[in-house]
Amino acid sequence: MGGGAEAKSQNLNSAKINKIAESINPNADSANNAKFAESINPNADSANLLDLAKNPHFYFDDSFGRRVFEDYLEILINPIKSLWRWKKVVVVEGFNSYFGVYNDLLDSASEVIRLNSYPPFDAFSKIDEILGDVMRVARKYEKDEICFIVALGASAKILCVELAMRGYIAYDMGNMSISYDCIIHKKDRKLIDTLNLQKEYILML
Amino acid sequence: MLKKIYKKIMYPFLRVLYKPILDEVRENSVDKATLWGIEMLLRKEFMAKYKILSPQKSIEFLCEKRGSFIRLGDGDLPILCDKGGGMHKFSTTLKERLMFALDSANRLNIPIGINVNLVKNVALKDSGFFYACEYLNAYGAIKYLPNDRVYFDGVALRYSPMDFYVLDSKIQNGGGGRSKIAESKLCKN
Repeated sequence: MGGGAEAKSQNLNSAKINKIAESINPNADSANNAKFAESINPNADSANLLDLAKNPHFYFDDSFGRRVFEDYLEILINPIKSLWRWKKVVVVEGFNSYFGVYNDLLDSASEVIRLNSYPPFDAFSKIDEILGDVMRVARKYEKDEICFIVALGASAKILCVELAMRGYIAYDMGNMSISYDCIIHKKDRKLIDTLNLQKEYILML
Repeated sequence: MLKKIYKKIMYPFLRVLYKPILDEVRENSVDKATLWGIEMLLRKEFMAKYKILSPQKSIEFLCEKRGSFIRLGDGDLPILCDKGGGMHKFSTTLKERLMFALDSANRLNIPIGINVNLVKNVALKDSGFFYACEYLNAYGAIKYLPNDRVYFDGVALRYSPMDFYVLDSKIQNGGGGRSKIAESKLCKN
């Protein structure tokens, strides 16, 4: 009985591995698929292998992916998060941007203030208005206890330099949050753009 | 306005006229290895005179300095060479303000980041080679940056390893122009 069950499970496994081979290389014929399936580690857990093969994106279960993610956190995310530790962060962005909403980038900040009522396209047309709003918030705090994250494309450079000239600290890093979101949510950049699940913001103005 | 009218009238005819040429270009679009070669040549041509920190050194530098920084991305460089880019329409005032900002950043010693990738997007477009040429025009805009100072690598803040991985898998799974061509050839055969 036991031998029969083993043979059955082996057949099932080989069928699954064949499926994986088909999904990876659909153009190859079945004989080639079988060879390819044999070249994949036959002792591996076939259920996990099937899941991995179906997922066209990043594998968090894979040790390589895990290692890359850990290094990414260690080299980039954690040092960047230390820039605004214990500071009040003012995020200046268009209303379609979600800097630090779906991730923990702004967790190290003592307070997050969002100015996100600006047009996502061609924000330069309202640059003076934006600068006025930003300065209105900035005047409420000391220069040491506040920093700005500006995510407005080309306008961000102009705003950052204007703020730096006034003695404030401003970072132009619009794409960083969305790149981090991609890796956390295992989604493509376009999908992250359309997620928009959390729409609760603290608006100061 | 005139441009728009010209496009609307002429483009349908031009599309038909140039179809054989475009098809030929698409069929002979470059593969990954050639792209890498072009990338290296372009970096040598445009970036050799600039001192750019490696991604890891860039992050260390920014965290040590703890001051403001700006990053010149793929949306800003076209504006410097009179084209709309990123999420902005082109206007001369925008270009002037951007150049003034860059100049001020240089004077105030604010770190500036540059994207060192030149032809990355080529594989995402069907007519990849034309896109590469457009991109090159944009990179002509870095002439506005002085080459006697150190820049940081903007790619570290722009992309994550995930982006590169997804891009790669897209090309492998038929997202890129070349694989589509390969498929169509297979179908014909």
